[in-house]
Amino acid sequence: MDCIKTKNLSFQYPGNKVFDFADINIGEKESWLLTGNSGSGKTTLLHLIAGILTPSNGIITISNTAINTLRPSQLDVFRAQHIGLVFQKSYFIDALNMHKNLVYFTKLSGQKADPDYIGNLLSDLKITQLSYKKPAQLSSGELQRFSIARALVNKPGILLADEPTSSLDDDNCKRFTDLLVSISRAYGVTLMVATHDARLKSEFVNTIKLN
Amino acid sequence: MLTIIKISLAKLIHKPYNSALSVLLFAIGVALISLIIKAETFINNQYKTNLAGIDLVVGAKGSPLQLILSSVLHVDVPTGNIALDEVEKIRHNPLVKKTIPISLGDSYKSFRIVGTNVEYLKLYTCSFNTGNEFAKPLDAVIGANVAEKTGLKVGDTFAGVHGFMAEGHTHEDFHYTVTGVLYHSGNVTDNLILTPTESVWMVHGEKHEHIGEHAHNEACEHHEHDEHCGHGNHHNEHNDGIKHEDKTLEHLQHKLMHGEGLTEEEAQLYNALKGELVISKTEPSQSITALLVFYKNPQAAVTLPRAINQNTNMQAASPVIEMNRLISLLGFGLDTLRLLALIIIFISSLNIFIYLLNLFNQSVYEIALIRLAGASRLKIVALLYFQGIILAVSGWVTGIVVSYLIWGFLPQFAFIRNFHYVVFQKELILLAYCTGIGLLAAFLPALRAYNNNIHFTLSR
Repeated sequence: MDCIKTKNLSFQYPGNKVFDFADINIGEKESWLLTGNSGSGKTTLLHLIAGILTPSNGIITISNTAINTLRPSQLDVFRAQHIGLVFQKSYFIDALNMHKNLVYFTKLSGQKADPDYIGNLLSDLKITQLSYKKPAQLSSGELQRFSIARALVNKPGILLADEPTSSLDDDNCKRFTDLLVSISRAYGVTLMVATHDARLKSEFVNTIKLN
Repeated sequence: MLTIIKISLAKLIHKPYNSALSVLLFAIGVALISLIIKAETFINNQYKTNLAGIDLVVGAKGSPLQLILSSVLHVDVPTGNIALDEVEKIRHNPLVKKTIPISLGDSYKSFRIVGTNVEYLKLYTCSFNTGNEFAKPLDAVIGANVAEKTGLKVGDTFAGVHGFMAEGHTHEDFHYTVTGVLYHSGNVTDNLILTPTESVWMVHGEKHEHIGEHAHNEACEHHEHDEHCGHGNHHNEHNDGIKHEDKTLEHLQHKLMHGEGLTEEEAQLYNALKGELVISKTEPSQSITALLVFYKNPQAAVTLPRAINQNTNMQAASPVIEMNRLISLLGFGLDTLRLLALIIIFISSLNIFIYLLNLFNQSVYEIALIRLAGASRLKIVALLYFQGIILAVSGWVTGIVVSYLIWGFLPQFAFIRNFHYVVFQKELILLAYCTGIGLLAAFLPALRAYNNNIHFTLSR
């Protein structure tokens, strides 16, 4: 069964060029790499799939739900519950410790925080001991791990990552990519990584290349 | 929504110095306004309580405000004395319902000794903590503050000092006896020593002692029970056994105590029986400081003051008019302070606005993140508004606490319990204004947060 499906998808920024995307059919628990040069529309496609952008044309179906048809408030909740996102930079609420960041992220999506699930997630990512520190007290590598934890904290079916390794050196890039792929498999989520980083090509079997 | 409130609070606590500065600046304005509210309420409360429905005050020519301040509020020196025969004319005027005499001149430990009658106690609905009202000359009823500060209690005696200063010539030959101590009432009687008008006349007689021997003897005869006077016994012996005369004397004394006044014949009889000058229409040396007048009907307000001011050598002053004049003078100062407070609040609200705008600019990624977490645009707006409200309400709470602490150190703090509910009501209205200012300060940052484009923020 397709987890992410797009048809005749296009998007136009006001006064700018039109992005026409080829149709996509991605099955459950698959891992895909989205590549292309800068300005090819990788982030745009990722944000369209996440419901952050509204397409000019076409249909996006996520887990059998056509997200274009959802009202903005419904889309906010749907996104929070079904899609996890990891960005190039790690953004957190700097006033809260990492544990509260995860708990509040769940609560804001309208769900109850599951302490056991969060505990396991932190343990699998090997960041349990760091969970009561504030963002400013952590390194960028540690923050990226927490980014994965936050993306998975609401038990989504899809994990989207936008240029997650662009600021990492080769060792950390390899380590982080391995962790991302393995944890998405372990938690049974569909993974889609948008990057122009050639180091990741060997890690993925499935690739979408944008021109 | 609880999560949004918690995040709002956490973000403000995360910047303690900036938040504290915003709260402190706001609190200064609130404290100033709260103090003005208290002062205004205190003044109005005192004004209403102390005027006690007095329609007119008649006294010697001079400043009408001074007359009211000295004879009603007991805070200024009297304008002079007025002759009893003039007073009698007013007392018997058909437009006058009731009068109360006021005689000033002496004090005890800076507390004024006021010669009057028992009507004065009724006017201020005084109730006795201990003892009873005065019954004869040199009896004294003291206010709660007088008792507290001087330590006087029922049965104690004391001598008055000439004038209103703590130190001065003491009338050692005339000792007052405390017959009653009043409960705290929140009006002028708390700080007064009340005694029959005759007491003041007696002590005035003492003044003659320094002028001539005859006057000394007369003064001592006035005071039957004064152990300092050696001539009183003869007078007592003369009256002993004449029960009819005693009853007449008691009756006349009772009339005097209750401010009923005596007819020409009664005055002559009283003088003959007591052998002293107590009240006489024809005796020019007898006088009082002021007369508190109550009208029989509204027409009196039109004719009586004008008649007194134009046709006599006395002046008539309306307490309401004079106090309004005084309050309008004070009002200018209060208005200036209020303006200053509003300027401070305006500046502090600008400070909150700038602080929230900076907070928003610094949190633009966090806000995008919170949106991704499922929070609607309205929740993001609420986040900014909560921050504005938290700062403003914290400023209000701090300001109110500070104002109560400052007010608490004022000597008049005891009065606060008489009107605190009214003050608190006004302070709650102030809270509503503060909340409004907090919302207004957060409006622009909230609007920017509402329009924040997650895609552009996260693509940077």
